[in-house]
Amino acid sequence: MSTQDCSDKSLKVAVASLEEAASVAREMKRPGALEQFVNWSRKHSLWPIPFGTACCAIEFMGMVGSSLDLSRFGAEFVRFSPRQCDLMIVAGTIVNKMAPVLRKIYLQMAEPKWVISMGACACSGGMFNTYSVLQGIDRIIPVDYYVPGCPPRPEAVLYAILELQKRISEESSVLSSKERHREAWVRGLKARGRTPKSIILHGKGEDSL
Amino acid sequence: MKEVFPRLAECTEDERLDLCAERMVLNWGPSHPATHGTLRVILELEGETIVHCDTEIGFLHRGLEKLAESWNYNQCVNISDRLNYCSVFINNVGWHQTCEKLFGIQVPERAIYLRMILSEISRIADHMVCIGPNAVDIGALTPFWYTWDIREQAYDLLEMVTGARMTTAFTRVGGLSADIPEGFDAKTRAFLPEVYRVMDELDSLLAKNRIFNDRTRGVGALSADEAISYGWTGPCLRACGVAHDLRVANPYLAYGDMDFDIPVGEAGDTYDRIFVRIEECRQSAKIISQALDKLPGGPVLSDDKQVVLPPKPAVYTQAEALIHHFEVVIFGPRAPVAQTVYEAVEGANGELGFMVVSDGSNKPYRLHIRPPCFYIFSALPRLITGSLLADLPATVASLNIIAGELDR
Amino acid sequence: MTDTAREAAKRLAAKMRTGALRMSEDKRGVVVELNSAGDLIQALEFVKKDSESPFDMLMTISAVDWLRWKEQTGMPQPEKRYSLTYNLYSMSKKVRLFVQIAIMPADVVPSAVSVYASANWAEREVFDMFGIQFGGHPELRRIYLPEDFSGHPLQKDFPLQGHEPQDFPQE
Repeated sequence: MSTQDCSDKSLKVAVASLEEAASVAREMKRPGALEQFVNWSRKHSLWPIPFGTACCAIEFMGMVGSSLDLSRFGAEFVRFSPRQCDLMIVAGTIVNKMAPVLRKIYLQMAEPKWVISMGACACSGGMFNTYSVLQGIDRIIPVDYYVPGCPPRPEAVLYAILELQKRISEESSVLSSKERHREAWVRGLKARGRTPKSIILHGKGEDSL
Repeated sequence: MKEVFPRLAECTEDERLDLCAERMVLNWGPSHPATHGTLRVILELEGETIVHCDTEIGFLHRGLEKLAESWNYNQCVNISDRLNYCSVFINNVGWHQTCEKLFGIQVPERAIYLRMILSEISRIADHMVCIGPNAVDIGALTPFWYTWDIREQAYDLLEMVTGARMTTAFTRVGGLSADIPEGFDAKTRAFLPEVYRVMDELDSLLAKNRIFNDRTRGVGALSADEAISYGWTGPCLRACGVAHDLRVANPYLAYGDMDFDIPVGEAGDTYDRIFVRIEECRQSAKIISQALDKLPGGPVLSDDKQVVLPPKPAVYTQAEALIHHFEVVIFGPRAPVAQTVYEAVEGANGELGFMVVSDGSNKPYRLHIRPPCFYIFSALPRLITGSLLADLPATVASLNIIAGELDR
Repeated sequence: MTDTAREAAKRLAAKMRTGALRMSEDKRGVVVELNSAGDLIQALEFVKKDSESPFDMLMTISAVDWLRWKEQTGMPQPEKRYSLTYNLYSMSKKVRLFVQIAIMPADVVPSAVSVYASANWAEREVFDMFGIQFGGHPELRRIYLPEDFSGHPLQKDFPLQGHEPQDFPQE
């Protein structure tokens, strides 16, 4: 494979596999046709798993209901099985007792997977800075979009899902969520003019995701 | 009660061949579509029959009672918001009613009627949140859309008045934080026929449906005496045949002047619980229309200087009002010392009680919340032991367990 | 309303031994304070079977920790650290009665499960939050917090944000 000028939109390169397509695309800094197709099909069939614990779950149900109707955006089935879903929406306060459950469900989801943290409690513990509340789910799982609000309007969560769809269409489709988050972290560091010496996703110093 | 399998030694050969030899322990929740919040039920199954059941809660324990000891009396309304988050206004009213009893303040008439109207709108919204998902768990997907329609309309009304769909935090010690806007009366009156229409639709969809009847009649039944002993209140108790409603028994707000009935069930099973709620929505609509007719004019906030914000013109022109405004905003109202009060309101699930011990400062010394769901859920093993596994989601959903209230 | 409760409290006082209880009224209604926790079960049984107004429902059991009372109010510190209030309701007469006892942390309170089924979870909650032991309870274990949580959060010397930093196993 040779590196081509990325302004040449009609470039066609023969590739043997999706992985090769991804590596060509990365060199050219845009997704190729095959990846675009995969991204398009993924973003329009995001099946959510609502990890709803508290008040935000009711607003999530409002989004799924008939006035906003999430299923028009492809999220047709709100299935509660992590094996069948690719978007986890954590809606509600996660307390320390529930945290291992949340992590287990996240790990059981198959790649590719995305997480939307809905509501102040999931983003940061919300107004509950107490002995039993997890101060933000990003302490235990990586989050793609944070939706603030207490509870956020259903339209706000819908906006997050639409933004996620835009991002899916732009990014590479063969990366696992671990690699994707690592790449985003590296990009962020470089944008601030720092070089990544070691990748620490969470304060534990252990890159276990 | 369904029959349990006979003991192994007393069976005939044929029966023994039919019996399941091994019991299975199944974990139901805390992440499960039908748990409605975060509950965990550990079941011991023999085939499809539940022979033993244990529950675990606390997956949404946020330490609200401890948090209340750090917040002042007006801030604690946010805690009440997050209790039963489906019928938020009733919790707000309950909390501030307790505060008003503590402070010894009278609430103006208009605020009383408005509190009542908004409470009943919340009650309708809560019952819809219960019935819709309950039907979905049984397999009836259509009623969900109808109930959600009414719920969205109720939320539109609440948003019109309070600014928030769900976590309203609209009451203050001494009344409401603001008056209703223009157009609320007309919009609410237009909402009421919709309520009756949807209740009739639910009746037509569910009441005589063969599958629904088979799944809910006789399922999760409890007798009246046992329900009282378990501390059941609200629609679940009324479904057992006990005509107890705090709005009638110990009237608060202006319920004593309203003319409405208390729907009472007979068998105390899932079917009765669902239909008691549907009928209660109709009665709530009746109360709302009566209250709108009788709504008096006047202020919505008491003028007790120690507790409420003074009117803005006075704040800008008089020194005393300015000081007073400063104190109420920075510190909040200060309660008389060493008072203990307990006030209860008829929440959507039953008696929601608040016990407050005051220490003379602007924060409660102790707040204890009496959640109705807590006592209702404690009877779950009694309800489902001996039933089939499929009865579990139907029963749990009909109890309307809101984890925010259950776990605080 | 309060008359009915007052009469019921007087009937209770007549049935119990002399000096077992003190009757008072505050903003809640009629409060019966028992001098000894040992009389609790007897008192609850008497009011449950009261002839005129049986108090057949135990609404809740509330506990208060008076540890910081003196420093926050300047009033005299109560002798005993905790007080437990049994909030009773009569379905037939629609009145409330409050039965209160004062206990020290090491005291074991007799469990009211034999009298009211709602006491089961109410006592577990009080144990979880305050660490008060109930003797004769079928399974006195934590209800809200994880089993391995150390401390009882609603005690006044337990900080709001807890003692331990949050730590999660990385599987």
